[in-house]
Amino acid sequence: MVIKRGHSLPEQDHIMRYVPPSRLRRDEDGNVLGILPQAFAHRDGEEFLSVNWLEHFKQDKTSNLRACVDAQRATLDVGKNCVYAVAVVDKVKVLCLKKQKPVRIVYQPEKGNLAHSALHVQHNEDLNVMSDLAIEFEKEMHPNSKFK
Amino acid sequence: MANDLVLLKSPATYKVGTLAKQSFLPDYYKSQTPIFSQMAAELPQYMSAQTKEIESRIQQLRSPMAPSMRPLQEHEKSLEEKLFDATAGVKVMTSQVAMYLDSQWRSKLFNQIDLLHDLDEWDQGDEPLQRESFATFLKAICELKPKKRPGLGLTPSGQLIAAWTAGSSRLTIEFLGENRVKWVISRMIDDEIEHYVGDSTVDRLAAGLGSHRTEEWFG
Repeated sequence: MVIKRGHSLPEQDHIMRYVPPSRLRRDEDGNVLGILPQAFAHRDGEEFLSVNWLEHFKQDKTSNLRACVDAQRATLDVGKNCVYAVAVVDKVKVLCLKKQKPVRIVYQPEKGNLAHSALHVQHNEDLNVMSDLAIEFEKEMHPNSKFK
Repeated sequence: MANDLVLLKSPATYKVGTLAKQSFLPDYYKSQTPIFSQMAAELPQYMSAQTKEIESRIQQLRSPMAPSMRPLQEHEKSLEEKLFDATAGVKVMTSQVAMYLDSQWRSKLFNQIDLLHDLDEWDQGDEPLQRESFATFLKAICELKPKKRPGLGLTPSGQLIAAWTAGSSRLTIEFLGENRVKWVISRMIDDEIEHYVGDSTVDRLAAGLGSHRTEEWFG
């Protein structure tokens, strides 16, 4: 299936979110326990949350993930202790809609990162929704150190 | 230069006194020889532009300001400087309430701040920890007196986040300026996640959290 720019991603496909070290949930000794809700906050002026679409690469899931990580590294200086978190498109949409937050996840390729996509959710920095997103994404977390 | 010589050759009637303050001559001459003071004061009008420039430079050499005394030039701080300043700032603030935090508390707190401000891990576009946010955090810690220490995080705009985690029960507090806090509690109940959200001043934080069995996070 060919997805064009601006079109919604298939419900069963996966999206990957880069989580910098400062937005990881830790214990007092710095051990990573999960993701903080603020990992899903919009920066000032940001209209959407950046994610990468795994299935863009049309390989098996492990290879797709690796390709997404490479694309992320190619376009952003990632911290060595960052995490890549993966979630299913449909599950992300359902949890947002449960909280009455309109949501769209669309393909939005960028130069150097053809898997780039946009998670549009008008959560107005509602910690309720951001917490749900954090819990959903932390079900599948991959530390950067895993990818040489 | 010709004008300068003419003046020196044809002295007029000099009045000694107030003009000496404008003199470019060393203090020694001003105090010892009043006549020089007035001459010096009147000299500039007879100087060529080039001579004035030379005189100005000589003055600068006579009383150079030590580099340490010169006002700091405005320059855009590097990211490394900003992170260093922010780290130093919050450590100084912590020292002011050191009596309320034991040494292990402070040590772990500083380790986490260092980790958050690690240059190699820094996310482009983020702001370093804001002092106002950290001040609110210190007030909250002094107020709540948690036995268990939180894990720390940072919002993109530099607000400190403290997180306590006990299995699937979580407390996350974001510390804002002007003594304000935002918090969220998440609990898994019958396979459903429940959230409780609050927004208050730090003085009302303990009361706001009061009905949520905080001992599982704070000990």
